Amino acid sequence: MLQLYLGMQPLHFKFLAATSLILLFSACATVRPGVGSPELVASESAPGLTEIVSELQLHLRDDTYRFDRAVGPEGRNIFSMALWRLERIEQHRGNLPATNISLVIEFARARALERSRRYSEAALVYGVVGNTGSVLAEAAAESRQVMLVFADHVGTEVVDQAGIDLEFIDRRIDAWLELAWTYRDSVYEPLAREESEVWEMLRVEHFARHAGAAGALESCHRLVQRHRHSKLYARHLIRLGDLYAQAAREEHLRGRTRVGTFNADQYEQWIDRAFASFELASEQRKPALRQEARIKIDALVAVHQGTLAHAH
Amino acid sequence: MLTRQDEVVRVGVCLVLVSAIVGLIVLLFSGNACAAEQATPRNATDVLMKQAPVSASEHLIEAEELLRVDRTERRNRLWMEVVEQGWRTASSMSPNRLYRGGRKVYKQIRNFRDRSGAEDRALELLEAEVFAGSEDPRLNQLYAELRLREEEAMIDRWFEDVTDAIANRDWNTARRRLDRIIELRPDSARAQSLVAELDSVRLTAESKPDTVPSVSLNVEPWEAALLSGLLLERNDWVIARAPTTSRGTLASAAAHCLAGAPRAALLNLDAVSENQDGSGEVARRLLEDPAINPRAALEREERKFKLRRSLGWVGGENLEQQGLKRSGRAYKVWQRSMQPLNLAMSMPARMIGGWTPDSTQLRDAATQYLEVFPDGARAEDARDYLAELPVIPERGWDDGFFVLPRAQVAYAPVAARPIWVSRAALEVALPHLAGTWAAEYDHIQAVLLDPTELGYGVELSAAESGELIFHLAQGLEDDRLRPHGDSANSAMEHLRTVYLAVLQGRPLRMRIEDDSPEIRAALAYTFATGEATDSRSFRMKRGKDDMNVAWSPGQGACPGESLCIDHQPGLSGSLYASINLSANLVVGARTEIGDARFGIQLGRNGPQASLTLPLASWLGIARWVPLEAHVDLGFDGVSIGPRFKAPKQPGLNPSLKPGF
Repeated sequence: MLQLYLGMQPLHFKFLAATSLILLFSACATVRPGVGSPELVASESAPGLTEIVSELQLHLRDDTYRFDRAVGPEGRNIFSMALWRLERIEQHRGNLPATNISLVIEFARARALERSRRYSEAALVYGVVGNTGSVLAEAAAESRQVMLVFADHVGTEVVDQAGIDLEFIDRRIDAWLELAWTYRDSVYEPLAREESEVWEMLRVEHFARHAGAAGALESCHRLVQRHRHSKLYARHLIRLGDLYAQAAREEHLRGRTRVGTFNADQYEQWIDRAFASFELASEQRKPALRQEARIKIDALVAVHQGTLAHAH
Repeated sequence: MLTRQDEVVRVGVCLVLVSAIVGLIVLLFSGNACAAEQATPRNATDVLMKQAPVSASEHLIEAEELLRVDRTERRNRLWMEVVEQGWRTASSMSPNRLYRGGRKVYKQIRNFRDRSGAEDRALELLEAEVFAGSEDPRLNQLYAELRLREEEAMIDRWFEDVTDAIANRDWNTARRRLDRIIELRPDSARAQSLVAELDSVRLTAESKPDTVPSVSLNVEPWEAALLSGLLLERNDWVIARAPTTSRGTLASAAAHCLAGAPRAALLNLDAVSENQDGSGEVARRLLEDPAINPRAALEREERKFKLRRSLGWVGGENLEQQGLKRSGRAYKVWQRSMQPLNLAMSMPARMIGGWTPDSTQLRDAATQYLEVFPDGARAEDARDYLAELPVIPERGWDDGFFVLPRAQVAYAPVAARPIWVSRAALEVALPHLAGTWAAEYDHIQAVLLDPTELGYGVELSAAESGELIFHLAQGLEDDRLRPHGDSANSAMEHLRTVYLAVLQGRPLRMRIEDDSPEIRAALAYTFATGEATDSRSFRMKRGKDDMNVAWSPGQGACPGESLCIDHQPGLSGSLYASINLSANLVVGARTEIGDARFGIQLGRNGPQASLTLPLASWLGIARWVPLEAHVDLGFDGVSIGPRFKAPKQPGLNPSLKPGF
């Protein structure tokens, strides 16, 4: 009936029907199955232990202080992803007797913990591997020693916010810098530098909280000066710009509330430096930070326009 | 029979007579005109005596007045366009001009009901009263109407943002905008359909196995030993024992990489990347890493660089940044780039000038390649890139120390800035100075008044500073002095800031400067970018199909961030030139006396003269009918007609259109 309706020759109709069926089956074959469920799947399509360890090992030498290389799809941290997968494998193995595979998983976990800056946990896991007679024991014991030193620098006690004074912060910074020097040219140096950088950032916030934006400027300059090669350099520049902008706003408010005389020269100097800091940040490589810096410049121009209306 | 010359002379005489008659009429009515343009003065005493703050009803009246004035202005503008279009039709102007005029009228009608700044100002006035709990029904109703229009305009903009964001795969922005739209318009069918579209597009783009990470439990017997060797970096051992399965090859590739054998690593990764399993996925990801596969990274950056450079040659930096996006803005950038003059003049200028986009990423890729493959197949190319591509020096560092440079963004100054005053301006402002300059100061062209903290020079007392500033301000207000490049308002504001600094005890220092500011060279910039250049005495603008240049001798350039004050000559003039794609060159000169403009030019059609009289302004009716009388004289004859708008290009002769 269809053939008659289409007015086709029998041979042509058969050819068309066969082609349509082939195409139909091909389309069905290429329909992707739904996104995998979060359950473990026992198939080769998911990454296995070799894939996890290979990728992890290739990133263990990354200089995480200077580069953001250890980033997977959609911006996820490679070490966190590896850690999560290894922990799930280990969880699934559960009560199975310990085998060499278990030790490999534990050792890889320890490496991932180390890179995730969870030093005391890494030391614990290294200790488990180090107490076995496997080929990994000696390396685990050595790494454990280093992790104990790092964990010691972090400290085990919970520090009360009130207990964090400038002296405490400076001690931490110096300790981490000393550790970075001790482990210079090794895979541990970037970790120590990252730790000292974070404490340096906290130092800036400490000054900002207690001495106001103007009082924090010198410490932020020091942060930028010391961590020029850090992957967070643009972030530090944006913070510096924020502090200068805040200082300018505070100067303006001082004039408006008549707490002091509005110093137009000082205000303009701070505004200019805020713009300069954001401009420097907008020239760095990371697209997200460049965009943030440009948005900050536009926002500060708008704020400055508002200040002009009340400047004198 | 009158010869052509006699005819020209006759017309010139008529021109003079007509001008004289018009001038007489204007003189008769100018007083009334000025009075008509003044606002009705309010009783100052009543205003000063009023103690009560502005009431809600006064705010309502003010808001309604703002909206009424805005509507009136729009109607007037539309009416002007329609009248001018009628004139064009009646005088049989070219179809092109008729079409452009018709399009302008259509756009004005279409956009007639669009929101304007007046609605924002009205909303500001009403919002405070509404939040204070005003019960005036008229006020609340007007506020509700304006608020609804504001919301609708915002939602329209957000819909455009959503469409652009989906086209550019910016899911987060699209989702944020849609959430906000749905919050305000929960029943919007368009928003719901966009949500469905976003989900569908996003699912298609992101449905990869690794989106929801999963792991395989399948562990081969050889993996324990092999992975132990890999973790201990016994790379040779791993390479020797790795099986030839997908996983084994991946492990071998990792070992090769760690052992410093990148070629072998890449071969293994290439082989594994063909597989559609977990190893293949990891291999494909590793091949994207420039540290592991610098060859692919170099080729990728090279392709992107060449594409961006080509786009930049065609349309400059704008096209280089926007050309590959799918958005309304990108379309406009492409449209501007396809203008004939850009393709004919600016594009070759950019190509010959060696315009390049930011080459940082290509340089990084080349550096990375040479680190891994110093003798690789692309090593020579990588070295060439590093040698030829410009290095953008890192700003903010001086000999290893962090030093913030001056900001490049333009912002209005708050602090007192220096003021340049020409000698002629000083003598106009302070007439008693004329003729008193000592012989050794005869050559002096200008003085600098420096109120900055670190300024130097002869310190003036507060009284002297105040008097000097007062006379300069008076000269600006009386139009005896003029500021260079600044509006009169900006100049007065600048003077006020300096005056306040003096009142606060900052001394004003005067020093004598011999050097005149130099004119900034801007020719190449305008050629390359098409943007207008204004160096105070020299202006250049590139149109769609022509290039216009004007030079006003006697106006020097003003150093940045300073105010420059010069005397106002009775007669001002400029020279200009224009050339279009038909190689029709026109040169001319024009002068202004008050608001009247006279010009002569020489072009393909021979000499032409023109006189423009702003009659409507002189008669005080410019507010309703911005009419100018326009007389052109040339070999083709005489034409007289009205012009309905003030020309938009000060500095170029508007009444003598090139090729007219």
